[in-house]
Amino acid sequence: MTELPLSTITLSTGFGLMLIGMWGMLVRKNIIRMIVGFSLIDTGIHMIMVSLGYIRGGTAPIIDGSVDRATALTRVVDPIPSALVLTAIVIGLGITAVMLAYAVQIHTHKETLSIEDCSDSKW
Amino acid sequence: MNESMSLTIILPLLGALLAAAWPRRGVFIGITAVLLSGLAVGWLWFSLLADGPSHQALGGWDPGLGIRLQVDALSILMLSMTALVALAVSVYASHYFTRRSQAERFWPLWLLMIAALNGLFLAGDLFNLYVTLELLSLSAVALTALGGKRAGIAAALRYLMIGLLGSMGYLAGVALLYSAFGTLDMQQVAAQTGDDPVSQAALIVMTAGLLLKSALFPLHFWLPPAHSNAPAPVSAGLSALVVKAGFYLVLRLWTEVFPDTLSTQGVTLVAVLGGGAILWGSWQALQAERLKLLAAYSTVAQLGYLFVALALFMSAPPGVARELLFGALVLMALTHAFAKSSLFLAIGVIQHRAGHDRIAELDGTAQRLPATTFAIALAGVALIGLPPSGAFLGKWRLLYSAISLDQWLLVVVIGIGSLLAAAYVFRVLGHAFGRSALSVQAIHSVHEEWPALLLALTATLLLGFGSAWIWPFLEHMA
Repeated sequence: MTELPLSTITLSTGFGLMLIGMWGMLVRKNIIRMIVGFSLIDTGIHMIMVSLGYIRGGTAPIIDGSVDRATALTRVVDPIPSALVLTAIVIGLGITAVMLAYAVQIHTHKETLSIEDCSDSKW
Repeated sequence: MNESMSLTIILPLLGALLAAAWPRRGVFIGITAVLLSGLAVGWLWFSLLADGPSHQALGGWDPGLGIRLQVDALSILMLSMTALVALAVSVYASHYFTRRSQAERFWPLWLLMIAALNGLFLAGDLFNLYVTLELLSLSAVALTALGGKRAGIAAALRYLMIGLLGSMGYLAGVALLYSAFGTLDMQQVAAQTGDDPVSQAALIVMTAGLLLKSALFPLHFWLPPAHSNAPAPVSAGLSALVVKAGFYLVLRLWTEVFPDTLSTQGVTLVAVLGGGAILWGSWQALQAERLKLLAAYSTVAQLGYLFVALALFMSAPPGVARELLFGALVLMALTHAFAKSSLFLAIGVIQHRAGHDRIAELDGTAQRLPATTFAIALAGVALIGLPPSGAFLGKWRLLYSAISLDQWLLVVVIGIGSLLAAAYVFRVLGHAFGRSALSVQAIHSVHEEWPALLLALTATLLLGFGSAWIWPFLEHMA
């Protein structure tokens, strides 16, 4: 029996996390739960992106004299998704922080964390 | 050439950092940074006219591994729009904020927003576009909450969450494209997309995310509260520039990255949604009790025109008519930016002087604030699409294409939309010319009234009479 490659497991986990997070963001009314939902989507996409660059049995992306370009293409894990994910993690951190700050502001103003109580924008 | 491209991003970014570090000098730093980045755009114009479209590999890394900035006719027009609107709004904002804490927070965020917009219009790389999109929504959301009122914060939180869902869709599309084609450079991806499932899935998630971000009906629900609860200069920037970013990206993706992937059903869907946006947005604008809400719903409707024009452009057969429609599309986007920012600034003046923006209580505004009322009327001319505004030329072309493609329903929708627009603009003017008790203080302040007036004049006269060069320019640079 061939075992599942690691990337398939992380890929499906990533998609699963995305769907759970999407559900949380769209269905939940509690702002904190919605933020958690966003974090799940974010993490899910990061996992998907990292698994895309994975090569079974591949080696670290360090190109020097011992690995020539041709073997590098088939044997080395693609470093670009990891670089992209690093950027995306930083962005996600910033956004989560801003969302939590607004959640705190809303809670101090209104003593509630339900998004439904926030629709009273005065026209 | 190369330096001016990165300068348009670096200068406002540097300004944002300086303004954050030195808040007391915010106004000076802000105006200077906006002016300098406008000059960089001017420099970019010179090199574009001399050398044609070009690109710059950042840090000397080749596209594929590195990220690329590129400039062509469409991006330079968008950059110029950003620079001019930002300059007028900045002059207005320099005297707008009464509380120092607000002013000190405004400038860094405002400059960051301009840097993100410039970066977005210059990016030639799909992931870099994601980064600029997120920068843009973060700064725009923070600006929305600047008022510090409860409604503003709630609107900002909603705006942020919606924007996030949109960005996540876009990012998922980027991941799909990278997995299939192994590159994120727009030109390299464009060479490989076709009618395959991966391209289709990527196109769908990216477009859906961007439509959410650019508030196409019925995904517009977050826009009116966010735009109407923000301070006036912020509303002007959001309505004029930020929503254009989503539209610009859809335009780029559809015309350059996915021209072969796009199906007729998808185009029809966007045309239908655009038509819905025109009718619903205009109708809601007519019902609105507050000026700012009217302007926000009018943005929903005007975005509808842009998407209808985009759908017609995608379904038009290649030829002169199609190229003319593209110019019309760009012209409509430019005109709306100037007209809407002017409208929001003028509303800001009224709100400042009268203490409210309820349409029913505007009596006496025309007597006390003649320049501002004139600005609203001129902006209204552009929003309705009357001659000689740029929107008239755009809509004329739009109607022409709709008729020649036998899309009679669209002709009717555009007609009704224009009538409704006329109704909501004249409703405001009617109240402004009312003769009952004067509730508004008279002002003679250059900073307050002139930016709105100049923006409205640009939308109505300059882009109407002086825009004939746009068509040959777009064609020449293509």
